[in-house]
Amino acid sequence: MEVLLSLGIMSVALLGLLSVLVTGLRSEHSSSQRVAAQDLASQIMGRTCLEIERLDENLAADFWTTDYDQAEAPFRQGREDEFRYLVLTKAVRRKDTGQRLGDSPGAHYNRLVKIDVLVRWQAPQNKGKADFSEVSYSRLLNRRRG
Amino acid sequence: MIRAKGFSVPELLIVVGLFSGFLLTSYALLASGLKVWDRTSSSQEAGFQLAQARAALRRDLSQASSLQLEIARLPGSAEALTEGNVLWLLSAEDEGSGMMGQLEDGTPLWQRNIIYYAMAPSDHAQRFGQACGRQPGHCPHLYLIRKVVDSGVSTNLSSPALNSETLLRVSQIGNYLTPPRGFMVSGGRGLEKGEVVAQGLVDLSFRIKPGGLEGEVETTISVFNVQEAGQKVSLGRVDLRENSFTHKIRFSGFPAN
Repeated sequence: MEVLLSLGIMSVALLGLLSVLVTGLRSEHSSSQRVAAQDLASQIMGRTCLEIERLDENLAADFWTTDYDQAEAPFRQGREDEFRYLVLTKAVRRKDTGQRLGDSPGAHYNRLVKIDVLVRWQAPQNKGKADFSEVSYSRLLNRRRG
Repeated sequence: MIRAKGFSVPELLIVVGLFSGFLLTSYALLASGLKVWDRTSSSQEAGFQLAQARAALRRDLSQASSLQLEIARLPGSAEALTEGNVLWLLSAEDEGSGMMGQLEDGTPLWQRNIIYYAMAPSDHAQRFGQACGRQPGHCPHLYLIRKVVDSGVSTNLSSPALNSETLLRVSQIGNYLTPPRGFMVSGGRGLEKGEVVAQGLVDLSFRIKPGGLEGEVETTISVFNVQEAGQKVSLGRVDLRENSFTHKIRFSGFPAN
């Protein structure tokens, strides 16, 4: 009886230790994926800002007057390696009136748009499940004169 | 009748068996624990080296101009390329004082050339106890070197218009791509500062306009985890760039000037 009891306790302790080791390895992998996702988010943000700076007049007018803040219809989206990214944009508005900044005549260079880059990926242990990890990178952009 | 005191042979065998099992399990756990510890600490070290490299490059690139930087391929490329392993750029910062130079019209006063490249130290064999050869991607002991150069006439903020630093030409850059001796970085005319930014690199590459737009410089750095790989990889004989013990990061800098 005593032998069985001690074997049981030992087995539980061993299983506990093993699970700690496995968790450690998983979290290390997840942390390196997170760093890669952050680098990608920063890269996509830089590219988006460059692209916006160089939009032709019509596209620029569209960008500065339209919100692309729905995940179903983002400003840009794509996939790189195991990561999927979305670029969402939303005009900054006055809190009291809800009016977009820079809507007064001659003041449209005061427009301010918040850009969010979302990078999502599925960790190996979550493959086949709906769970995913995500990092985001945000930046405020104002319209450049001339 | 006198009853003999002590344990019977079966009892002793059971105890010895249990004890051996316990010892073996403890040993296996200790060994795997040490392996995880090694793996975590050496991968932390690799992560640290990558972070150092990323921080330095991002900082210099953010202050540079996409019109004032070049990329070439080591060794001895004769022309500037859009993809290579040597990057050099102009910086408006004076390394000593940290002062940023600016001309009256608001444009940067270029003060220094900054060069980035990866190379093994000249005392590689003594330092690492082996020779890894010269084939690309075979040596996990490369240092990321950053050199600050004041070429030509010395540049200073007191007479900016006369002494603005100009970007080194491709034909000049070869003189600066010298191996460090240990951590001592030297070589090249006008070298003001040389430092080892990160170590343990296997590969370094730069790419201009990776997304098709002017104004982006993409850097890829690979660090090989020597400690974790242990004896499993024969250093110097295989290409380590796509190895499972290699940590790779890719990031972009956006020259803002």
